[in-house]
Amino acid sequence: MEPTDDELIREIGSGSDLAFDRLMRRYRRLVYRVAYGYTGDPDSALDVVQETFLKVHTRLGSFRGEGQLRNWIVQIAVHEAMNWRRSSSRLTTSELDEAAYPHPEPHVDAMAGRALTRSLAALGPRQRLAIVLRYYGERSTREIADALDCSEGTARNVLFRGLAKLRTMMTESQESLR
Amino acid sequence: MSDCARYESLIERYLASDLDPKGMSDLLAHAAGCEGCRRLLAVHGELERAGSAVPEPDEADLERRQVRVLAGIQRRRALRPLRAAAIAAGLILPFGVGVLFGRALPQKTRWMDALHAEASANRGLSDVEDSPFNYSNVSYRRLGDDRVALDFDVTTHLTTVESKDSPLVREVLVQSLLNPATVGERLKAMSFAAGGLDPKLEKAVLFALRNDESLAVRLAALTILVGRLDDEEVRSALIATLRDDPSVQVRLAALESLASHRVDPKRIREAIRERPEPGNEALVVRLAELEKVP
Repeated sequence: MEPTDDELIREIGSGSDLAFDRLMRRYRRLVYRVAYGYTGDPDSALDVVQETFLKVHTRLGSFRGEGQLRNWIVQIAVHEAMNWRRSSSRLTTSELDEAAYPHPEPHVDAMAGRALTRSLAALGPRQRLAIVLRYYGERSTREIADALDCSEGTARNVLFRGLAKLRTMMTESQESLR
Repeated sequence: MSDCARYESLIERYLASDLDPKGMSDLLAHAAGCEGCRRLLAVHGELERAGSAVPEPDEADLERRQVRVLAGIQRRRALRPLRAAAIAAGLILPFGVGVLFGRALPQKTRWMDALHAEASANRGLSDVEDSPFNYSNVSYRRLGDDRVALDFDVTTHLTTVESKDSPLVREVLVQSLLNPATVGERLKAMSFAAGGLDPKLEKAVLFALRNDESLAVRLAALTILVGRLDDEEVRSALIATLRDDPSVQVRLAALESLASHRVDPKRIREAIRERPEPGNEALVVRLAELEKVP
């Protein structure tokens, strides 16, 4: 019989790498999907998975069992994905340096393909988390509400507002491509 | 779109996959005649497609990453005693050396020479990012005679007094704005940047306005840039902020600045159109007030 999360946490606390291996196996696909929702790129999502589980191991001692372990891991994954985004957006400083020089026009299809990921990244943290959990993490409204620490009604409204904002951004993005 | 508020709860339930067939047919009938709701449902469809199109990770890749995580944990475990020893040595050695030689090690000078050389060589933001030196725990203090006291960690903690135009001062400031420093450090850098922008620092402030996650840092960047609205790059950055900053407060501040600098009202109106957030009303009302001012 599979050990529960609580049992795994106890074993990891007493130094069992085997237990941590099991825990990663249990949640790595969820973390990957959430990470992909932020990065839009398989290799970067794998980087985020790796960093997330290193952090999970370091901080597991501070997990007090309030709420589900799964949501706690997802929160860390989101944080790591945001860090990834921050460090990857730093690459765009080279574009700032080159602002004075003419650029070749980016390929229109490629720009359209990135519009969704870019728009997602521009959402507020709660709306982004709700959307990533709903569409990439395959979580129910109840689970999204748990992750946001709110009622199901509020979680639904956060999702709605997030989509409405995406609609505006994507409409503008499409107009700018015309 | 005037009817949309009535359908909001239906859409919320639809997005949560919790809408009954009657509600569904009501919603679809409304969406057929409402472009806004139709677009919203299209975004939902696009996200559903994107979610289902997430490529399944290669199990072998996941295994490799898992092995790396476990190796990282074991390495950390093995280094723990060494780290404790290193900390102890770090505390004892400088004291012992100081007692033996009665003076500071010349290493600090070598460090400062290397940092000055690197800072002078770095011309663009990407150079700063690629710099082998990372500054943290940064603080600046004006000394009143065109000099500043600069205090920071870079592998070791250093304190120096520099000319306010020193490349090293700019390097540390720019890196504080670009790197994932704490909000406090980024705000400190911003407050110092307000004292005088050079082109490199201006680009770092523009970068912070568009990318920083902290509302306080973005507002500080905006305040600094307001004085430079004659520059089209700055104007465009403020227009983009007005259009898509996640905070209504920041967008309002951008609106005030753009309107008071007589930026083309058409550009401003376009930037704030079709915002569905409740806070957007504040922008529309404020714009109408500003437009009445002669």
